[in-house]
Amino acid sequence: MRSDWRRPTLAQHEQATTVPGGVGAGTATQDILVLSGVQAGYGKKHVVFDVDLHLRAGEIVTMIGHNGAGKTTTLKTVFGMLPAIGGNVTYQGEDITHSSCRRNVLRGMSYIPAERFVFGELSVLDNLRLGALHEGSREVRDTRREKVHGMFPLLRERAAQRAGTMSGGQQRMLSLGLAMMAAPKLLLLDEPSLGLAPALVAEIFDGVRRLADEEGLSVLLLEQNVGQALRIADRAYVMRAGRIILEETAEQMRGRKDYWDLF
Amino acid sequence: MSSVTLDNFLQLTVAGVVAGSAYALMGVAFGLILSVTGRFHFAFTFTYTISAYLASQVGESYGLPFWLSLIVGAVAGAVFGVAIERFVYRPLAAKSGVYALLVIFVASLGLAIMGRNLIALAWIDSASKQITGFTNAGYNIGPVTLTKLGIIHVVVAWVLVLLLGAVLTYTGLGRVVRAVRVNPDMALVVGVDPKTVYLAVFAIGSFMGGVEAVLSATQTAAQPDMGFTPLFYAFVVAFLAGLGSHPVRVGLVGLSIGLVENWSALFMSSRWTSLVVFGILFVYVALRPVQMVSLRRRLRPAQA
Amino acid sequence: MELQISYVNSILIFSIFALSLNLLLGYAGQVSVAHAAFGAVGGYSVAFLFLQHGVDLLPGLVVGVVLSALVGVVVGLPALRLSTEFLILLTLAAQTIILTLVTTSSNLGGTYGLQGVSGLSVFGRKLLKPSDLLPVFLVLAVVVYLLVRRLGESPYGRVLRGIREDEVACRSLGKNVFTYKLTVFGVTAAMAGLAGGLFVVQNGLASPSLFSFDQSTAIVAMVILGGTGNLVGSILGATVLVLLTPFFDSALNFTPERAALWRLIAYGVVLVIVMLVRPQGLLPEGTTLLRLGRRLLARRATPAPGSVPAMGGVRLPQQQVRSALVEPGGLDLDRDAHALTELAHHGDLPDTVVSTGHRGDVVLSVSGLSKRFGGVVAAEDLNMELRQGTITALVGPNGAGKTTVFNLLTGAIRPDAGRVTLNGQDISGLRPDQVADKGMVRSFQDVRVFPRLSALDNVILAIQGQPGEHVGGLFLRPGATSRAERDAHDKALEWLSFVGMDSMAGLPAGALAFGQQKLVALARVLATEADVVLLDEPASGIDQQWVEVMLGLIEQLREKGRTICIVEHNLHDVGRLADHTYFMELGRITAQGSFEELTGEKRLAEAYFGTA
Repeated sequence: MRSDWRRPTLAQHEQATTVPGGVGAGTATQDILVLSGVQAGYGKKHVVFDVDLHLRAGEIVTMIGHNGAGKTTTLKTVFGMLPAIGGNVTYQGEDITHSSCRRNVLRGMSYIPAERFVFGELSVLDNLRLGALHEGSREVRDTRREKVHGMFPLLRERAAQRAGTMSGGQQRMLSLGLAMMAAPKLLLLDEPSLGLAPALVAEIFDGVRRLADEEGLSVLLLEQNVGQALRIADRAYVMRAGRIILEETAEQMRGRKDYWDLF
Repeated sequence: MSSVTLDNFLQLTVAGVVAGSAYALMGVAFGLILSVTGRFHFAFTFTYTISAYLASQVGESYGLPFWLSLIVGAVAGAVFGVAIERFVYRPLAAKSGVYALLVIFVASLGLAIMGRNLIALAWIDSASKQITGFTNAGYNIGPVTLTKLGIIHVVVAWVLVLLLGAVLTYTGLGRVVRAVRVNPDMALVVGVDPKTVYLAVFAIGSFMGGVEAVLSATQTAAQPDMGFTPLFYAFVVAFLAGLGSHPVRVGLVGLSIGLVENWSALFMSSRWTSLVVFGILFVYVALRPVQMVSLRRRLRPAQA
Repeated sequence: MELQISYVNSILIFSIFALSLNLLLGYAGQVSVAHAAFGAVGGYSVAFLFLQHGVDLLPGLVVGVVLSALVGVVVGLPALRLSTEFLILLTLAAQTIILTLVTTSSNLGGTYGLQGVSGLSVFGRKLLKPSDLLPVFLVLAVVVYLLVRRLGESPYGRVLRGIREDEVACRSLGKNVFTYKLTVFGVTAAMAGLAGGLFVVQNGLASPSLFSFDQSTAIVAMVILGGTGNLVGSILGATVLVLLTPFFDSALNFTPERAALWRLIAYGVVLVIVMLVRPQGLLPEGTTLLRLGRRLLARRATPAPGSVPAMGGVRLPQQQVRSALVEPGGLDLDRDAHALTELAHHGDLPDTVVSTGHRGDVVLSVSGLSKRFGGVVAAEDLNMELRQGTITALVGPNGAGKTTVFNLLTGAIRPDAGRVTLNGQDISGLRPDQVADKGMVRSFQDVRVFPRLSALDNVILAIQGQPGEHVGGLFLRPGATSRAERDAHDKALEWLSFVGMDSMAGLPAGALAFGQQKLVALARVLATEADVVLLDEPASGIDQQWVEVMLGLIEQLREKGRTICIVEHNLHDVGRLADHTYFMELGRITAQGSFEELTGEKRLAEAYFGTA
């Protein structure tokens, strides 16, 4: 179902600022995800020191930054894989800062990691089935699977193949299909371009954009590949050394001559 | 040492099949637990032994038929297995961080010793416990003798192994178990709670071990020490087959071990045959290529 | 009276067992369940030689010890590259094999063993009663204690503990981990063999039941109870577990059968409870009789203003340790980062060995370095130079192969082709510890401090050329060892002070905050005084203030003429530090030059940030 009203036009955006938490609330669409003052890390290792960001329903927002800037840590903390050391995460108005992964999946979040993002030793079909683990009704599961097969015909062809034996790009496709099996509202996508040949990268990103448009998904996308990310994103945050240093619309960021000073 | 005759060879083959089926069952059960949960569950000896003792006890006290005693014993083993995971391993894993593997192994060792001696204490007045309700019979087929118990042992073992294989491949539970084994982080991502899966795996593995214990005790009577040797054989089978292998593959490795062990009685005294098995283990561990994924990783989901 | 003495004898025997296992398990971190089997080798040797050839106790023990040592080495060889679970398996197999061998060998008495092992003599005196055995056992136990203490509480022991904590990091500091492991296996097996021989003499027979898997477990229980890395604890553990027998027999008035079972139950309970409640055992690591005595005395008297550092362990003056922040990680970042920054600018760099070369000379040269993993090209035809007194940076998008380069340079991975030359010497194909020896060290992205060692011990381990780290030097040159130890202690403190961590010197490194650990790891790497220092993401995972400190320290090092190469993802930092930069893509170096030159090239921007 196309809902153009969910993707605010650029004209509706306020001026981008360089202060974290820039684009203010009060626009027509609701925030589906809000992070405020989030700090996170792995036990002793503090990686994220202060992150404020928000994501509106139906938006594609990308977070770019160098390796080790803390993007993945932030995502994992939102999803509940890592405990937040400080700050708050709000999803559809509900505080989910200390929620478990399972709860968040039930709430409609899907997370696709940057590496090891499928069950390599299981078949494509088993992978997809696992994506819909929490859906009780068999009918609904089958319908979703049909839909995913429609989006990615390859997955129907290769149903019995061991996921790990497919190429990188095909596995990426499977990971998207897996995520869609849960019919999520929010997709947390970590560096989908990692390890992919450049030609495939464009294809994957197109696929993400298409999914978002068709399903009305909100997407928080982490990327090092700035060019591709900005192609499909509405807004961008730049993260460096554990903090957000910049927030702009995708168009503004595209206008920059180079990105060396952001990383 | 038996002389190398065809008759001896065939009889030893029969013995090897029976022994190998037992090893197969143990290897599959232990391997399932270790590959999915990463716990070096030495206390398997305890759930194994208590199954046999309880089967014997209920058979004696309530006059239950053999099959019922068997099931009661195996279920009891499953209950103890789940309890150990829930009340000992889980809290230990939570507080031990990177040292979890070692800490759990030492605790498991302690439980094994405690368990074995508590059993001996509880049944201190019985020299050994027999499993009631079963009368064995022998069948002579040409040069070889098969026993009723031996046949049942082989059939039951392989039925369970194949059943587990089927469950893992075709059912939802099996899928979830394989998911946790193969990629614990990704399992979290699809919303699986590994802790619950661990309980299920301990139940299944301990049940299978319990069945094997009762069958073994039917043959030679239950003794407090009965769990150690089978566990050591389970190690050999599970590691040789490779952790995470399909149950049928593990089973076949177990069968091979049983055959090799018994066939070597053609060339050496049967007292030495167990040396062959452990010699194989030693050589395997010494020469295997550099390890793939260490168990350590399994005990730390969702890390950088 | 004789009964009581026989308990003391048992305590002495099991103390030897426990002390030797502690060296292997507690200090070196090698999990072994084969200890009783090593004892069996010694015990059966003594019994066999006495019964068959009338050999006396001491010569019999010598043979037993040598044989056990050999068996220990045979078991230790495959153990060298095994992870914990496989080591357990290996030692279990060894225990079973050895026990099966002694049980089934016809000339070793089978299940009943070799009986009638009594009336051995020592220096002409026949040993018949427990009170005859006591002096012999006592002397030998004391010898073992002193030996284990010398090995464990010394520079050598510190290396063992480093191996226990993190083998990879240990190797990167120049320690040949394999030699250490093998030696420790041999030595502990030898001591277990000694204990086995005494055990046989005490019991008057050598039987499999004396050396069963149960017995191995009992010895493990003693070590665990007393605490790993803790010598007094092992003696204590042995005492407690041996005395359980009379406790259950007489005090609780059980039948012998019940008592035996309860004793074994107690062993199991001990293991479980200790793991649940206090995995590190009863006493803290490093407790020797001397320190225990000192501590007990100190409690009575007023605390001494200073204390002499004991060999191998640094005991800083009480005030200094107390003044260190009580809550590690509970730092007031602003205040302390400021203080640290001050230090970083004003702290003195320790006098290092002045390199003979000039700034700008090529110190490390790499040509044609290549490595494939299966079909994947990790590195292809790399040509690089590192010059003295400069900071070279390696940058590139994800998966470009930067960390692989460090691994190839330091020998952690073998290259398929190419040459690496350090100070004119070809170091291609050398092991990491050899490379460190030749003058190139690296830090790790995930820090890899030795968590249970103090910050100071972490750094002392890096100081090269300590005679006490080798068995020969440790025993044959005690004077040189002490002097070197004192020097190392002082130097390590200087390096810690350079990075601003000297107030934390006595704290276990694992208790420090991540940023502090990074600084300690930096001090450690610098303390090797290697010519070339490779820093893997030195500024990652820490907050801005710490990054400032780190960068400042690295710049100081450059000023002093060190050769540094860094891998960094934070281009901001790279721009500030790098004199020369290599740009890598998919395993190849595709560009090099100054940071400004590289960022000016459009093609590189596309490679790094992707095209729209």
